[in-house]
Amino acid sequence: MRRAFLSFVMICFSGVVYGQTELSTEPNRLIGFKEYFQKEKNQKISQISSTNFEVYWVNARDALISKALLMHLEAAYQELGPLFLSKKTSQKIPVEIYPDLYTFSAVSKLPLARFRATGTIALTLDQRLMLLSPRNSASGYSWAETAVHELVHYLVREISPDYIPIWLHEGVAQVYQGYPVEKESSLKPSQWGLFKKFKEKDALLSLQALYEPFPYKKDPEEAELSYIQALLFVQWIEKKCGVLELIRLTGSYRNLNSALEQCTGQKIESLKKEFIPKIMNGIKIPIDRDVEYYALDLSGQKDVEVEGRKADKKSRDFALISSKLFNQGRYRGAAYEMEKALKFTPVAPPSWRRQLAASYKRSRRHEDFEKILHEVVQDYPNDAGSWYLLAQKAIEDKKFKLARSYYLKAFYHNPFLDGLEADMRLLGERQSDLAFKFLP
Amino acid sequence: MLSFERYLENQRHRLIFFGLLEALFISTLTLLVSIFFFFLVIYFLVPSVRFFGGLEPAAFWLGLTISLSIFCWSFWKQRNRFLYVSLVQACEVIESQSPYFRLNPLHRSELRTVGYFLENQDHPTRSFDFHFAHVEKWKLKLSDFVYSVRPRYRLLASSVAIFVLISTIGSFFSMKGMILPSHVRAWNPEQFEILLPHQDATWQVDNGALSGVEGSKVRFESPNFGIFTPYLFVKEIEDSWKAIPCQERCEFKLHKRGRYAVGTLFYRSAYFPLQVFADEKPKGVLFAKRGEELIPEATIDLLNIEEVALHMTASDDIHIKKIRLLHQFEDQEEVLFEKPLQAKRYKADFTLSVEGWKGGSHHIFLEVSDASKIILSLPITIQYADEETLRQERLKNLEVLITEWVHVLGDLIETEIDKKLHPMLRQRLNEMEFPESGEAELINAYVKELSLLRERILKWIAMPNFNETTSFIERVERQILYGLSLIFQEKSGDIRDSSDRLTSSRESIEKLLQNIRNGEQALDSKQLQEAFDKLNKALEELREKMKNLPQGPNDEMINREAMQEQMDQSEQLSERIKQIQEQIANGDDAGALNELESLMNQLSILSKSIDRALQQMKENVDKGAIQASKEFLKQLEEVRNQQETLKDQTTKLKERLEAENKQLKPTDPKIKKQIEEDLKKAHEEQEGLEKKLEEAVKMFDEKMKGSEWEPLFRSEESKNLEEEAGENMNEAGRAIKAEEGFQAVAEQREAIEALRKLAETQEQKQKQAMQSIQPPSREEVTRSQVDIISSQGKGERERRRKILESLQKKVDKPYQKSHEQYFEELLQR
Repeated sequence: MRRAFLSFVMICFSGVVYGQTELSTEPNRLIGFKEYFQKEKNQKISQISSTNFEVYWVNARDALISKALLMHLEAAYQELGPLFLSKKTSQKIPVEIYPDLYTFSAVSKLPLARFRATGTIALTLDQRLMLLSPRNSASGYSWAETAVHELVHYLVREISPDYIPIWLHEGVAQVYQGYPVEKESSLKPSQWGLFKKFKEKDALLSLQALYEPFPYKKDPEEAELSYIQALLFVQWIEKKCGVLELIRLTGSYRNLNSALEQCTGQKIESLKKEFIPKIMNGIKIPIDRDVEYYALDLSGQKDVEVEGRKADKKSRDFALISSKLFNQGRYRGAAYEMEKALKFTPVAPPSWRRQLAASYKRSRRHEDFEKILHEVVQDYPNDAGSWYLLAQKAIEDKKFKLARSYYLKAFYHNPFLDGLEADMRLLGERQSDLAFKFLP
Repeated sequence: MLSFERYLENQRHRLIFFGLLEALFISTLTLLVSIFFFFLVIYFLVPSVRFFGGLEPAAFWLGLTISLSIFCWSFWKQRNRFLYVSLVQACEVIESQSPYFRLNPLHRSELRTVGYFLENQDHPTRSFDFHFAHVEKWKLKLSDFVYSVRPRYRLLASSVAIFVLISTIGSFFSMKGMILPSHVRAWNPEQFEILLPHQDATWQVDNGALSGVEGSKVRFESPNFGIFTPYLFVKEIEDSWKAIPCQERCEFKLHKRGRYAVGTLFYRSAYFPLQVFADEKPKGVLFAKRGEELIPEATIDLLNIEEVALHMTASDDIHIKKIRLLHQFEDQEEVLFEKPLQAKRYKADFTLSVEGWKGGSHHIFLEVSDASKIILSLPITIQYADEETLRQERLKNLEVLITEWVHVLGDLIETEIDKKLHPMLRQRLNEMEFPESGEAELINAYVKELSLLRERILKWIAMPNFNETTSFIERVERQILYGLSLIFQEKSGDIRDSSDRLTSSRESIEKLLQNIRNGEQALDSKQLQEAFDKLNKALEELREKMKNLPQGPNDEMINREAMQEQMDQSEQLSERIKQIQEQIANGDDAGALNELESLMNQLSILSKSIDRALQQMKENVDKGAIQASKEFLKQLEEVRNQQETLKDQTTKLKERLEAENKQLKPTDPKIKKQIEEDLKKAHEEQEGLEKKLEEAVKMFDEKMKGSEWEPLFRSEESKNLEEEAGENMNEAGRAIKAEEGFQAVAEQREAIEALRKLAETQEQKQKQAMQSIQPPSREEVTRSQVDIISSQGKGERERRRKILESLQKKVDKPYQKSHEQYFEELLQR
């Protein structure tokens, strides 16, 4: 759960930074990407551009994603641009891929410790989209989606550089980050679970609380809850006058409260009063086993929670035994034990199920292998490893088109996954019509 | 066609050549004669006569000079043979050698005249016509007398003489070493002196045949042979005779046995034998001393003992020069004791201190040296087992055992899936070996449990009921998990050790840092460098140990580039230490101090995180389980006491029954009824006790389920005893009902015994468990029960990795505070 939370925080932290910069009156502008790398570091900068974007990178390996990133952003902009802006921006939007956290920290002037603490991987500062290269993460991250998330921040600031609070920024960015592929924004089971837990505890955040910078919340759970409530509130506003309209109104009034009153038809005081009891509590939480699990408060002493903890421990025990069997080459036994481990927890890490899949494969249970991997990608759509394994299976079955789509999924979440690039190229060589043209 | 003048000229040249050869040959002949003479002088006259003693070199050079002078003189004397050869001489030789002149002796001297005329053509008094006509006449006869002159016979004779002389001199030279006079005169050896082959040896007088150790020198007084030089003639085996001139004494170094004689170059004594013995290697034996008993080549197992008694003996046929006691461990060698000696034998006790030794196999040797040889004794091997070695060994054995059981589990699972006994299961169990685990009680208990489990499975394999497979799988799973937790405990002990060392290194650096700030110490002090070295070592050790903790499933589907970068960065702490050292070396004191402070902060966080993790392990101990065990023990005591009381009652009842049965008359119905009622009551009580035990066991089972202590408290051994007690109680109840008093009492007694053993076992396990959760000495920490899984789940492992990696990364000073705060938060999660 913490991992899910952390990854969520990673994606969303950009808004906080936005908030910080908004509050800051410091006149110092950031050092430019070129200025930093060329003049200070004496490194060669590579660049690629399209109609509306310019992508810069330093490490040669990042060329792997540069073209795909450009294409993805351009496609998203084709749809988001008209939604947000009445006219096109006059200049190309700069997208900077940073080779590591140190340089990212140095250019953005944000402390390295803060980067580590919040897991920040992308920022929008001075209307520059800044991304940390996915090379830095062993399990990768959804870099394309993150880039669109940052693009939304950019577009919001194009409408109204000031007056937009963090909850609105983050809410809107979450709503549109799936463009151009996924246009419906929704919460993950873990997020619903957290929301439910706080709702049941009567501890949801007030509207005022959402104005405070999210990463400075008292604990990571509360920070995550801020993001969740921001998204839910923006979805609620969408049903009123539309969130983009609200942003435009804010820009025109130079005041959010007036815009909110006009948008919702409610006085701001009443809106604040009704925020938790009516708006937040009125949201229907999906009924789901996973949601229920995440809603468990494991910090208390209730019997059910203790049971939950015990079950969690049991599943880890079985996973451990499974791992021991796997390492000894006892794949049937490993599968048997991992199945037991998964029975006791609805939220096993994807690597467990991947290991189960590997055990199936090695004990020649190919159907089970495929089935379990499909389950993993359903629960963890960002799990590049599972997509990659599925693609390999599709190649074995000579389903090349399917394999291509699986490779793409893996690529968009962890492009530097071991062996992925080589396999993608191989597929392109075997089936020229299925070649990945964005590869360098 | 060859001209007449040319012919004569050619012949003259030939004659010059032959003349040169002759001169050379004759001179050489003279030289050889003189060499031969001097050879005789140098090698026979000078060595033979005492008066010339020591003149050999002078005689040699003198002889050489004289011989060369004679050669030159002779060659000079022969110069006319090739320097002044005229045509007349050439014609004379032709006349003497050509067959024409032999057949026409009257023409002899005419050709000589031709030669003369040709040589004196420009003479003023000549009669030209006559000359011309005479020459012309012989020109025409050229074809008749033409003949190529040949060397004279003396050339051949002189070359033969040279050959003969060279052979003679060569023979003399080659015979020089073998010259042994054949004429024998009487001489008897008297006493002689001998010098043994070692540095401090002195000449010692001896009698009889010359004899000694190889390499010794022998000498005796030279006999007086008048003017002749005395010689010692020696022939060692496989060698030829050698003549050694004697001065005041005849002296010789013994190499091999053989013969010798004494004499001059003209006569000698009879042969006497030479006796030589090989120099023996010195001998050394090292003994382990046990009381009065001396044990050579011993292998000694030592456990936490600080001294070992040894005894050294050494000897040599000549002289021991030195002894050394050597200690060899892995690749290192040190000298424990060294003593120079001058004796043939040496014996001494030695107390060997093993304090501070590392665990492992140590070898002790005695090295004995004589003048030329060094030997090493057979070693005393000391298997020194310190706590650390024992622990490592236990750990290794445990890991092997668990791996075996992982395979047993695999076999059982496949048996369950296939509903068919896995072909390897029986063999695997039969071949399984259980390690000795020494003092480690928890591991001992664990190994015992596994052994019992093996017996059960083997029994089951004999008549397999596949409905029971799942139960065996669960048992084996429990045992594997418990075993892994034991490994984790052992390894966490390791980590605690390293963490303590890290903390101590950090503290000493901090102290030094404070001293530097106060100006009491220089930044580049040696102490600081040493502290850095220790710190580096502690960090390395800790990193290694953390890496080796038991881990859950590994995620293989990752971006290894990132992992590699992280791994590279994990070296950064060590790198930072290096950087600081460089800064100090470059005189950047301010920068180095800043860096050092930042480094100390990071290390402080690292220590905190490890301490917290270890503390957490301790807190994870399921204290409730111990409480439950105590309650169970109390119940067992209660049941046993009640069973004792019941046994006494049953004994009385048995006696009453026996008394009634002995009577000849029928039993009084009242008494009979009373006995029956008492029996019924006793039976009910017995059943009640059995049920009470069952309930206590069931409740204990429930409480232990899922606990980390389950494998310890609910061991096979306990279960067997519980079953035994239950069965005895049940049997006792049946016997009471059947009025079999003797049987009932016997069963009750056995039930009491089983209950007593059960209570003892529980008490022991409780003790083991309690010991393992006592804070915080290392020994106790290694026994502490921990929730190993909580540290092995991927999330936890990932978190631990992140913390450690992040700690090893450098942050700028302004961010240090927030950096620390972040880790504090992470650690509290």
